[in-house]
Amino acid sequence: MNPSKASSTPKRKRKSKPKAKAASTPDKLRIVSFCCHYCSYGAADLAGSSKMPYPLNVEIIRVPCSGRVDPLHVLHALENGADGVMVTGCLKDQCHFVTGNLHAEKRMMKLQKWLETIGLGGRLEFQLMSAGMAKRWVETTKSFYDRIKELGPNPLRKGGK
Amino acid sequence: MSSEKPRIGVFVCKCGTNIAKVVDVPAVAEYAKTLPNVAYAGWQLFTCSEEGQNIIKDHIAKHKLNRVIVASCSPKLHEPTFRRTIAEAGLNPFFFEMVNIREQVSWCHMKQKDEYAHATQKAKDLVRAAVYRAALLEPIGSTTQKVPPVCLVIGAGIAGIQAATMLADNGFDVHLVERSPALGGKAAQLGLVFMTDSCGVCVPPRYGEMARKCLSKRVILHDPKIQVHTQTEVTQFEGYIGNFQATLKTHPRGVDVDTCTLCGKCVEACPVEVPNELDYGLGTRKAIYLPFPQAVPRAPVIDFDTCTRCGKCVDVCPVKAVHLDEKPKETEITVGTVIVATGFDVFKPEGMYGWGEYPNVLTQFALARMMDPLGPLEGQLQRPSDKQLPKRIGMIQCVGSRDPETNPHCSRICCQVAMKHAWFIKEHWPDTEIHVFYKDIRLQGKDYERYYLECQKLGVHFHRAEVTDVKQGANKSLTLAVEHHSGRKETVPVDLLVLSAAVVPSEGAQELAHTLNMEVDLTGFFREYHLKLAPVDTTSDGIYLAGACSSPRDIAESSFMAAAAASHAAIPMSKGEVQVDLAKSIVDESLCIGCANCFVVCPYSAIKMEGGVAKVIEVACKGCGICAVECPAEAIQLRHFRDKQILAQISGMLANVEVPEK
Repeated sequence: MNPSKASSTPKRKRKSKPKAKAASTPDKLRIVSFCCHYCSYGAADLAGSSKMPYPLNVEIIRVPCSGRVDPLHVLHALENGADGVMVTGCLKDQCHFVTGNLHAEKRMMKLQKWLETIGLGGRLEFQLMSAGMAKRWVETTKSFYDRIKELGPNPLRKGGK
Repeated sequence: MSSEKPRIGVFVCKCGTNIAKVVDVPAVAEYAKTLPNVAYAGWQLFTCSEEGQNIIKDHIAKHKLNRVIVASCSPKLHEPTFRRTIAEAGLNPFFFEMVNIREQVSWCHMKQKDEYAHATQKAKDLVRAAVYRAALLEPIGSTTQKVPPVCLVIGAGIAGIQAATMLADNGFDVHLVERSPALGGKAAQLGLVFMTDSCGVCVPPRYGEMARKCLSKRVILHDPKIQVHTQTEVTQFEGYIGNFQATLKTHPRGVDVDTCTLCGKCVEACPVEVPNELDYGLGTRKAIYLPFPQAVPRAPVIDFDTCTRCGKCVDVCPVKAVHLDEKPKETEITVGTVIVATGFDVFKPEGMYGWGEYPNVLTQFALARMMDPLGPLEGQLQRPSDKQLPKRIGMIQCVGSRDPETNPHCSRICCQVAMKHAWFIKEHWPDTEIHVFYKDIRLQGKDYERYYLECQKLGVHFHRAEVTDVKQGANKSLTLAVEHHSGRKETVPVDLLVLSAAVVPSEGAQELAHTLNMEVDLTGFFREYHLKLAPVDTTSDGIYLAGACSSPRDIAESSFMAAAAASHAAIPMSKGEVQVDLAKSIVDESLCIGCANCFVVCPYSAIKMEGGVAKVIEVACKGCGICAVECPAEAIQLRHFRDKQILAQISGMLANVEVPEK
């Protein structure tokens, strides 16, 4: 769990035993996004009402505050085969719940490091935006989707590598 | 009730074609029937309609449903509607779950035409997630919150004054807070305002009551129900509807309003002269000054930033009303509701068309100040460079408006202002030649067209053209390079150039939004709860919007929006109470180990440690759930967003993803 240790361990994965064949590679990547009710959920809504497209792979779970998102929730999503998880909240100093986004940031930064050590690095994205920032929502989802596409399906998924 | 087996009803909405155009709605409803605990699933054309709601009620009775899911628009819009619907059918309103397949599926993916099948799949995934979650919902009650009959109105322009007087007329107490030293906002700076061509300081008008409402009659200062705080800002703000606590910081005026006789001796004696910010560089003022002749409150104000404290004003004042040592003061108030009416500012067109660089380039607002009979030039039309009457005037429309580089929005009032000024100039100085360069002329409503027709009759030249360059000549006259929409190019010499600069959010609006915990939109204006259905409400209960703080608006629109805001704010204050739900944190005392982690992270001090365990103060808790993540014993949970509910939603969402362990 120590991040410094993590960087010294070789990143290359050993060839896994051929149990899940590449033939069943999942065709659609799945991204679970936790959005806070007051800001990022509003940004996603605004992207919708402004008819601004973003990857269909992103599916939203509404929480009152990004500070409600438990690392447990993120792990649960990855364990259930999500290829990527986004946690999004209000801008700094603009959190509807004052400090919720700061707690979320602290927790998610830590979790990102842990995920690297277990081979799931890069699959958790944390972003802050206001309810008016539909453009940032669209850009964030697009670039995260591109990253996940490059990483490929979640290795925990059947057919994942 | 929560112990009985869940029987879930799923209602999928077509929203006319809003959803149905992209998502195969009947297929989603069919799919929902196959999901666990679903006792009924079907689709409607408009679920939110009276008819749609009655169908929900009928099916609750017919199929003995105890959970309801509606897959339609954003819960920000209709969650309260459907909670009410199921409550009317006898279910606890928290046995409701909403799936957003409009804003977050059909609308956002509308342009991805080849992927409509994927959009339908996404809608199914979201419905499945809601079904899994709904099985674990619990009933939640509510409590009553008293709302005192006191309203805080922020901003004393047209909208703020209108809202304040209406509330006072209805018997409510009002704190009217204004940042500047005088009431009246932008309208008070204008000599004449459309559509009545009346004096800007005398609005808002009302039949037969015009004199009563006229700011220069200073009625507001005499209304016992309205407490006016000028030079005042809201520095701290917290609480919830019925119990907002605001800290008001009032900067020193330096002059006692009650004893001042407005003799003007202090202003005469003052040796400091600086540009008057109200006059856009056209006039000057002293360090002690009356912002404009009819300014209310009726007393000069000291600008302590430029004052040298020489004491001459103190010496000449016959009634000893000047106090150079006055200190800022802080007032704490408790109010039931808040109306935000902070108005707008004029866009500074820096680097555009020579503004700020050439003396004879002005904004329309500066021209209005110039032509105000009580303004710095007493209503004379002149070129700032040589004080001569301009013979040829150019006006450029949409400066900083409808421009992706600066402000994408239409500022809505500029066409009217330009027409009004062109007409006024032609009426008073008929020999002046006026050229208006526009993209489109936008004069909506019943009375504005009159200005356009008058202008055409009086010979104002309208060009659908773009001004590509402005050059200053020898006598500070300007040469405009014009490209007509037809492609024709020409140069037009003018003596004075007037820019119709955009309407932008008031300076400090962002800061206020932060203080009040409110949302702003892409343009920086305050965001309304719903553009059409709740244009004066905000996402914070008990905070309302009036006037140009949420979009560019003219005086008439600001005035009726203020009336709407006042009547909305009056609803909870007349009732005297609101219902507050208890979707708050809750502690399982048998699990609590008394570590106080939750107590430490709570931003609202809503948790107290008592007898070694944590206790939640329900009225103070806002339901963020930060505490629930921090708890090492899983003793504290946020109701309606419990871990098991969120985890079930995730499992449901990903139930069709194959993982080896499954």
